[in-house]
Amino acid sequence: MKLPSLNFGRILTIVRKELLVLFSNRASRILIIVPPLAQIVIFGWAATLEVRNVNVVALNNDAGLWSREILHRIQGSPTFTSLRHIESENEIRNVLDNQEALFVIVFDEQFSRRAEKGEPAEVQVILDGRRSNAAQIAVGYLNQIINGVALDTPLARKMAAGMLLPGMSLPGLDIRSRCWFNPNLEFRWFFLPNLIGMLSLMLGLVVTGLSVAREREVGTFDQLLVSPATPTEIALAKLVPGCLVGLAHGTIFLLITVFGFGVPFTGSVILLYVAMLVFAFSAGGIGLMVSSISSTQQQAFLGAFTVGVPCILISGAVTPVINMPMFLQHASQLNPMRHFTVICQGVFLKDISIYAAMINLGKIALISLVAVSIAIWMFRRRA
Amino acid sequence: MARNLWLEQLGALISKEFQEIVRDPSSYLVAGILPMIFLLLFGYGITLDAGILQLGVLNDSGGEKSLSLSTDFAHSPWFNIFPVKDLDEASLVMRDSRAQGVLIIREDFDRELARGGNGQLLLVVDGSEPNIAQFIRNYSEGLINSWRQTRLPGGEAQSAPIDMQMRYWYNPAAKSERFLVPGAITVIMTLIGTLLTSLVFAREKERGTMEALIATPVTRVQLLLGKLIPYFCMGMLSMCFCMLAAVTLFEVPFRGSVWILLLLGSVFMLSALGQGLLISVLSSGQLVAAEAGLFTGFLPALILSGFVFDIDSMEPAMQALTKLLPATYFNTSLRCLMLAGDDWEIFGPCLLFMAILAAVFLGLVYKKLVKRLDDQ
Repeated sequence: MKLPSLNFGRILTIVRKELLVLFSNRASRILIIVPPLAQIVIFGWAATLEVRNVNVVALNNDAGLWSREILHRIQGSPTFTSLRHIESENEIRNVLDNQEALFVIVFDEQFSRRAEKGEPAEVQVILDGRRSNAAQIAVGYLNQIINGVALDTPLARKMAAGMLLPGMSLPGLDIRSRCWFNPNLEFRWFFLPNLIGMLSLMLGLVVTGLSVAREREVGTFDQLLVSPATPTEIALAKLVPGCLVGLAHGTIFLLITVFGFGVPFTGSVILLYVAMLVFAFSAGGIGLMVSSISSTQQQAFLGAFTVGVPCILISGAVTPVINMPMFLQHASQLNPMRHFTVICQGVFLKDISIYAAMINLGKIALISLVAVSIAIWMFRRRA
Repeated sequence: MARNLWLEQLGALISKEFQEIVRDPSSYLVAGILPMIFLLLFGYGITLDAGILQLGVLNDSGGEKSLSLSTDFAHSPWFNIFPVKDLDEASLVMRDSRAQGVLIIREDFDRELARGGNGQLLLVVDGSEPNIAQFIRNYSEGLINSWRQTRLPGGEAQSAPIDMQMRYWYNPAAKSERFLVPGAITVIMTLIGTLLTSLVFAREKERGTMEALIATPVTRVQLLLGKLIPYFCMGMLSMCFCMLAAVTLFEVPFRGSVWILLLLGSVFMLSALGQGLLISVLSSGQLVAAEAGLFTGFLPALILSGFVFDIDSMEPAMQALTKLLPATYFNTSLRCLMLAGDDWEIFGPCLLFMAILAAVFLGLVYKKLVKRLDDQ
């Protein structure tokens, strides 16, 4: 495509007009400023895959010491908030059906006697599979508690030297594990940096997408076309406000994430801003493409939504990319947000190397270039 | 006769609304394509179960035992291993997200084992993705344990002093799609109920056709029902379609009764529609309405309804907020209906709260509608 000569004065004039449109209306001003901010606060607190405040119900048929010791430690653990006893097996169904507890822990009559005699004792845990993810994580905590108690049993002491217990350091091997970048595995440290990408993608798509469709619907688009500005200039100018709004929100998010929530920032701020800018252009480009094929604001908005939400979901910002099936992992290479998420995680937690940052940045830039070119081409065709 | 006229007028309004829906390609997008994308993504793509993990192995020892340990890792279905030269490279592959973890086998590993001492292993995992980090730790510990039992002298398996037996009711394999798909259906219905309808009055106002509507002899009730009924039908159709897909494509069981599903779905749809129409009568333009629908309808349904994130684990203030969302109640009851079966102790309160929310929203719409008519 031959690049037409651009008049930057005209582009700036349209940008100024776009910003005035965006901020002249009180309602649109509030909606561009308030909800994204509310989001970071709400999601910063709400979105967690950690498990806390777990309710436990116990059916203890055992009168001995060992079951009481386990229940005692469950009560003392910060993960489990309440422990209630039931008397008979018939109640288990009721408890789980009505979601009164995440799991029911059952000790049989023999439990303490067997543990005392040094025979393997058995404990049964029945979990609510409707909340399978929380249940699996809670089992991890429960496992630690039970292993801790198991260490004190006569059987464990008897076999002190050659004994193998799950999750313990083994004789013959000395395993240590360490978590880098996020030593306490705080979910917030993973999620909050990713919110920057999510919000600038959605804002870029919606602000850019709707601005063109609005002019079409209200009928002012023709007025723009008869102005001295060329269609390419108009399209480029339409890209700018969404990027500016995205960058402004990115800045606010960065400050809240680092100073409000205490997430470490180890990388380069300049790198983050360059990436945010390039990424915002790709979001705007996709928004412009969507708005080129829609004739009303409703179509533009829903189109932006149809593109934006899958982009967020397969970007690795919500669940890791490597968990997805291979074809989705390959398809997500086309998703600018995937590469932006790598950079975001990298500059916040990992101090990403310049080399890896450049590769990801290059991919975003390439996607931006293609998206903006296609968008301008589609825009000119419709114009 | 008067009644007939009333019904005829209502019928005319409904058919006008239906025509608008049918003529606008974006309604197919929301009612057909988006639900499909969502179901496919949540059924196949987004999973909380771990996939194949990239693990770097830094083998400083290089002896027979260390090689047999890394071979075991290589043959495991969970790991894809690659060699790492030194600590600097290990740190680099972690920083650049090329590996989720690095297993470091110390220089004296084989020597120590031969001597009868303790071989040293260090497992470094990437904590920036907490779930993955947990998976790697658990899987590698299991793998190293079983390697030890088979390859080291005196490591034969012994039964643990306390044996924990787990059973997951309602979802025996603890598959995450069984827990995600009902939530995805809730989100899809919120899309149609709140997001699509948030535009309906805003559109009429922006295009100036609201005045034309006011000039007709229709009453407020007719106007409200005329908007409500078409979208209600669309939402319920979409729900049935999604349920069919969930049961046939993703093999999520449906253990409850169909009429309860229809009852729960209708009440939820009314509350979602009420929220959408309320946004619509309150906002001046489509941009504002769309954003309000996005931020008060779709995103909360995605994040606060218990769809992905467990409500009990949230901060108390957030838990209180989730109680104000119709999506929370529908998600809870739909998951129960599909995986566990009919249980009125759960459905009863959920139905009640959804009905209250629906009544409040629709009542406010009715009240605001008349004010707007006076304004115009």
